[in-house]
Amino acid sequence: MDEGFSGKLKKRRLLNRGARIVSRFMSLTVFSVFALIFIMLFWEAFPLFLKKSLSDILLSTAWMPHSSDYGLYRFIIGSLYTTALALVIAVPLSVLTAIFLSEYLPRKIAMYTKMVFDVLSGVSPVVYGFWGILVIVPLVRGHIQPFCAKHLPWSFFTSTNMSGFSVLSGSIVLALMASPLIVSISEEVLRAVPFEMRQASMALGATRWEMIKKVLIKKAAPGIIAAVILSLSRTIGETMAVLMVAGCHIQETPFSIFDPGYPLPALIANTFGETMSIPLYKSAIFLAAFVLLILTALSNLVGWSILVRIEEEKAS
Amino acid sequence: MKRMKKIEETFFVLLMVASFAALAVGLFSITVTVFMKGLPSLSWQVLTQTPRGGYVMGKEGGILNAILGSIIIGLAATVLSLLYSLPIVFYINIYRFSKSKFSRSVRFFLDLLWGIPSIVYGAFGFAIMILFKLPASMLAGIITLSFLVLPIMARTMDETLRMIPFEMKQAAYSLGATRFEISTKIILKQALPGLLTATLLAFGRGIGDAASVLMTASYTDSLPSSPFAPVATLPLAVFFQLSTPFKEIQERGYAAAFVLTIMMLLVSLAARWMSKGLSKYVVR
Repeated sequence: MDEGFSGKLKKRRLLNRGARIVSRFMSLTVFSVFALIFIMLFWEAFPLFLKKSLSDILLSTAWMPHSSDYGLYRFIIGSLYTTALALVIAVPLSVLTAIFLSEYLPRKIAMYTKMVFDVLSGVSPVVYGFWGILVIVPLVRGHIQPFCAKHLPWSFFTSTNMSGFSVLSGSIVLALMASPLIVSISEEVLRAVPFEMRQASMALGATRWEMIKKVLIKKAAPGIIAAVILSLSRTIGETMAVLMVAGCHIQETPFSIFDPGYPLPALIANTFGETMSIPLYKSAIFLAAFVLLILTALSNLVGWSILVRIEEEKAS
Repeated sequence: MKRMKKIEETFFVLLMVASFAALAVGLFSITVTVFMKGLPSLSWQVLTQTPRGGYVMGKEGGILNAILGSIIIGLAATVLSLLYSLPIVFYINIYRFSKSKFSRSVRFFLDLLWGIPSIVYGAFGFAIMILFKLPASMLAGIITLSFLVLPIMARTMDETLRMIPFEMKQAAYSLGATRFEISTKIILKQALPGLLTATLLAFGRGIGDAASVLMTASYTDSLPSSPFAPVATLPLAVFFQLSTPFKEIQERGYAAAFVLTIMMLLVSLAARWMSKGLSKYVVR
């Protein structure tokens, strides 16, 4: 064999090996990115644990950074409340829409609809907030709240906060942000249910709705639950839109849907600038971020493992 | 009995149509609101000038600082994250089997990163800034944003690479190509539309994100000048300018929302077009 060829081969092999080593190293770093975020946030939050007990931080409502009280309870409740209410609004709407898309509309139209939803929902979270301020807040202030005050005289529906910037406004905006994802995943899961199953149930005389109710939803339930859990993690971490419409100022823990809510992400975004001078205050903010990281990572973990299991089941 | 069934079915179908309509109206209403509020506030001055006298007080000027800032930060973060994700996706799909345990766990971690909210990335960037004593700056914003868009880009690219038929790789192997040559000479061409789509999607997400740059890049009224100085971004221009009580400034915020939305819609549509239109040279 002539020298040129084997020299070239050597060079090609060397290049290949180099690329392998570099790209392998970079792939390995992916594992450490999550760990890095975890450690950095924990490291910055750590000083607070030395000074305060966990229950002092997580279960106390006292938030007075200047007298070193860092109770995150109110903000955690704020987060859970807006997220829960958002899902209460979003889940039925999205699941019904997904069923409609997969069972009642032709595949092509459903696909285009999903695409339009996708494009429209792809705007910046700030734009959702902008829409919330201009459309939802006036709607809540001018129509929904007076209506509830008149017809639903329970403390859950009444509030002294008349501004319209409230838990409900935040939740409506969040619900709209979460819906396209739930619709998209649920629709796919529903479509993946074997056609024979539908045939079998309808051959036994079930109406289309009975088939949906008794066969389809049961079969697709894990996927739909996964979709909801995944959107939950998006919702709980959403910052700007909530900051703009939920009326974030420190008050009592929200009870009524018209009370202002103050979720964790909004707390971080609002206060990080003033924390630099007080070390413990800074730690408290990083702790808030750490709590968010844990909450979202857990829900993602659960959501993805359900979806992965479904996929594996399908493949086998 | 039969009638009850019929009534039930009709009821639920109506409910489905209503939910569908509610979502569609809601999503369209966002775009419509942006257009209705944004178009009247748009002018040549708004697009080509920087704000005068502070973003909270100055009633004149425009949002050029934010437009430029967003584009610079978005582009830089996209490029950084591109340099990081390309080797990763090629490694897990070419050097390893797509379905191998290693590839699956990389994928899983990317999914996990995708789920982390932008404000947590912001806090992470903030922690890096504290560690390296970096001030709120363009550089900090770019670094944070590239972490944020990394999983989006890498996972989207990964999905396209996974779709490439195995026979194509086999054919190249049988001719004696190395994996590196297959990656750069065959797969890269075959997957180009998908890779571009992923890049554009990541760019769109990058320019739209506010929470992470709020904590790291801060905001300024002047044009972006140095990587170590704060930089303005469009989402924050919307956010800050809407929160003032002055009508003129709020209108500038509307204009910023309009420009931002148009940019993001264009990027998103371009990404979709790429995945279809550019596939002329793709072997099927």
